[in-house]
Amino acid sequence: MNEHVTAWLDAYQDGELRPAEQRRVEAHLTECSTCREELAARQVLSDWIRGLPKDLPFTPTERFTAQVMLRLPPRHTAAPQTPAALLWGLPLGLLLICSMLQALWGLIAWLRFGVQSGLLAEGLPNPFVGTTQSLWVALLTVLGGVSPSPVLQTATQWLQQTDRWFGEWLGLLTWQAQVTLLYWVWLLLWGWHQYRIHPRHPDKTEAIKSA
Amino acid sequence: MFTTSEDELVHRAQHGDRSAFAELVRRHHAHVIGVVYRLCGDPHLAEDAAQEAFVRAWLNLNSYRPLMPWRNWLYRIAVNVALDTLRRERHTLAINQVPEARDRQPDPQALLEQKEREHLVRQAILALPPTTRAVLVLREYGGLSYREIAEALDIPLGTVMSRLSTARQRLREHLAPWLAPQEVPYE
Repeated sequence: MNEHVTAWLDAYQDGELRPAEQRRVEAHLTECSTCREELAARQVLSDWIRGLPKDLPFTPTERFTAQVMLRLPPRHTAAPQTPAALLWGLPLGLLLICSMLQALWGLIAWLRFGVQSGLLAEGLPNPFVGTTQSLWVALLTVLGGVSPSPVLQTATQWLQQTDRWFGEWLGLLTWQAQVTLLYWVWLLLWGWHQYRIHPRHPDKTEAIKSA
Repeated sequence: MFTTSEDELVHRAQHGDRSAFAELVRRHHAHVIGVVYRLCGDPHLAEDAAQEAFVRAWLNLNSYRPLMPWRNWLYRIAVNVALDTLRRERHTLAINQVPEARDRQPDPQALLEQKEREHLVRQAILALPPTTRAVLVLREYGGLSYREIAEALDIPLGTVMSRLSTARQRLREHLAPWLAPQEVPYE
């Protein structure tokens, strides 16, 4: 390897490189005196920085602790609500709802198969027999058929036309939209919950970032 | 001897147990003062800032969640308090005000060289911009990993690396006349 690894030496010195990168740097150091000198300079600097005295004459531990405790104001002691219920409960609940709806959808598919194959034709209302329309449209057709309301009749006809046009894609798209909607609802609720339990204070990190 | 875990202490303190919080102060005060002192450069300001950091930690304890170690959360508060203090006081310490270390070397010549080196390093560190200095101090004196520093300062990992690199580069430039690079034999 001919390229110098100067840019990686800080992370190498701090032990922050991944094993493969570390091996790469070590391999380079064996053959590059320039990078070895760079590393040596960094090590000398690090020794100087860490060589500053640590045992400074600060207030002894017990006295410091007592001073802090004297300054502590009263605080509301209500324990924070654990986020575990929301963290696990909500997605699990949504998953359960999705599973139930999927099962219902499967049941409807088998029902339609039974109707179309003639096995269940006698036990079901007339609109199901021999039709290719979706079950929900068929149900609305039944309701529209017995309803005297012309508005509902019109709506039913419109739905039948729409259903024919979309065919099976409508159901598929509806399911994808539902799953996506459930996911985003959960994500929004989780984000809102995180914002509520992690207010920005006491950190004035914006000041740190901006400088 | 049985020692209570830090998580347990934090949990108890969150429920208002002041003795548990006192134990947390005992465990962490030296590190917090050390970091704040390296940021402020003044031992008196550092002690005041460290006390203020613990008071803020107490007041905001209910907002802490164990998604990060409590120490890092505390460092985050301490660094912010130190930066607030620096902005308020606009104060840096002259070399003759630096407190003496307790472990002196018996050899007067070695002691003199040691003091001169400490003076140079302190000056170089205090000459860094506060935000860059915070990253260096948390790494060198707080012993935090890059990821922990990113958490503590709420900055991206790449920013930690670039600030650390900048800090060391400036220190090298500042101390260049005294840093003698040596050829390191490598196996």
